[in-house]
Amino acid sequence: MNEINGEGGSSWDGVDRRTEQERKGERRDHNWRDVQKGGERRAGTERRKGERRKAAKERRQSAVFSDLKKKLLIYFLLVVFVCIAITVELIIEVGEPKLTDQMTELILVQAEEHAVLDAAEGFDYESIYEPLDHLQIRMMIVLGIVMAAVFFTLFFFIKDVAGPLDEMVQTAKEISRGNLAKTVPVYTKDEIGQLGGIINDITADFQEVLLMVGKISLSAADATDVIHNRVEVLKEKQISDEIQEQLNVLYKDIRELKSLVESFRFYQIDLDKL
Amino acid sequence: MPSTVLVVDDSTFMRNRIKEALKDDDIEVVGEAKDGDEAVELFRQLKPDLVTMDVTMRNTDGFTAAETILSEYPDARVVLLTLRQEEEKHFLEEAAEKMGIRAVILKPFTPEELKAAVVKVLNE
Repeated sequence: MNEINGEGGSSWDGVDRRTEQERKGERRDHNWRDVQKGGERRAGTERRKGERRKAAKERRQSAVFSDLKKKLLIYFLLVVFVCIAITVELIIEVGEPKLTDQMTELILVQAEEHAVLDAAEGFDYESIYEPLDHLQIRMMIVLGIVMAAVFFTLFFFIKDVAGPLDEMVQTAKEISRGNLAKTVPVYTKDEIGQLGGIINDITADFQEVLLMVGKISLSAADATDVIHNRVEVLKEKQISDEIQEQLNVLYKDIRELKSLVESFRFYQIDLDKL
Repeated sequence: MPSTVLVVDDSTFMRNRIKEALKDDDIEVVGEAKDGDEAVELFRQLKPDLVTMDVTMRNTDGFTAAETILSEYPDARVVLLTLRQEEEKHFLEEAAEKMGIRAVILKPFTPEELKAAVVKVLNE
């Protein structure tokens, strides 16, 4: 009796009348499954339209995701640029002959007249300023380490933050489109992991409420059915018609509720393994 | 001493409803789990007198968790709570009985129904 009210509210006293028992059995067989399967059934008919919409959405999505990564990349490149600029400047500065010339000059100026001057002129300045060369090499090593550290940070940031965040956004969008069977993957216990867990909790709550509504709508439909059958045989035709009219409204609402629940896709477990 | 109960359900509002329904001087809810793995772990820790176990849960479902618990503690009192349909109840009850599960309760339930079923199992 799936379609007892198939032609819209008015044709309740339909053609295909069966016994209450038959109807009940049939409804039990199909409808709870329909409710639970929800979106899967509907998905078939709307697939093509959905696919086009999905493609467009994905294009927009990937724009959003790459935004985050792009921003991150720009920040990190900025840091790298500043690091390189400072270090390179220092390295060049240290290596300039201008610096050693200045230092030599200062030594000579401060030397007492003639006292050390002769000796100073004979110095091996190459070896005196050797530490500066060492400093230059050390700074190059430091530059290497800083760059490696920055790239490692960038890599792990993308891997631990941007990547999971991307995945979470994808899944959350899927859930918000009505696919409650989706679960946000939770890898860590940090805020990102917690956020994923909370999305999963909300989804579980939502599914529970919806399935309960679906189940209640079925028993409500059953009850309306029973009342309908009883009222039908009333002797007072007018009262019977009035009640039936009200029942039609009620039944329509219940169907609406049921189809609302069915528009979602639910997380299920297979009982057949038992 | 009140009987200890572990409430297992993936939905927060359902756990709260169950806790609310079981509120009693003789019953104390000592733990809550939101999936099967958590349930098994908490059972080992708390060894409660009774577990109310939801069937449909992510990661590890209620049947699997009940199976693990009962294989380790054959005397454990496990009560299944499920949103399945009336017609499936018989099938569920058969499967549950084979596993040593004490009762199957269908959602939605009234607080009184749940409490009565739990008290009955606790007194067995």
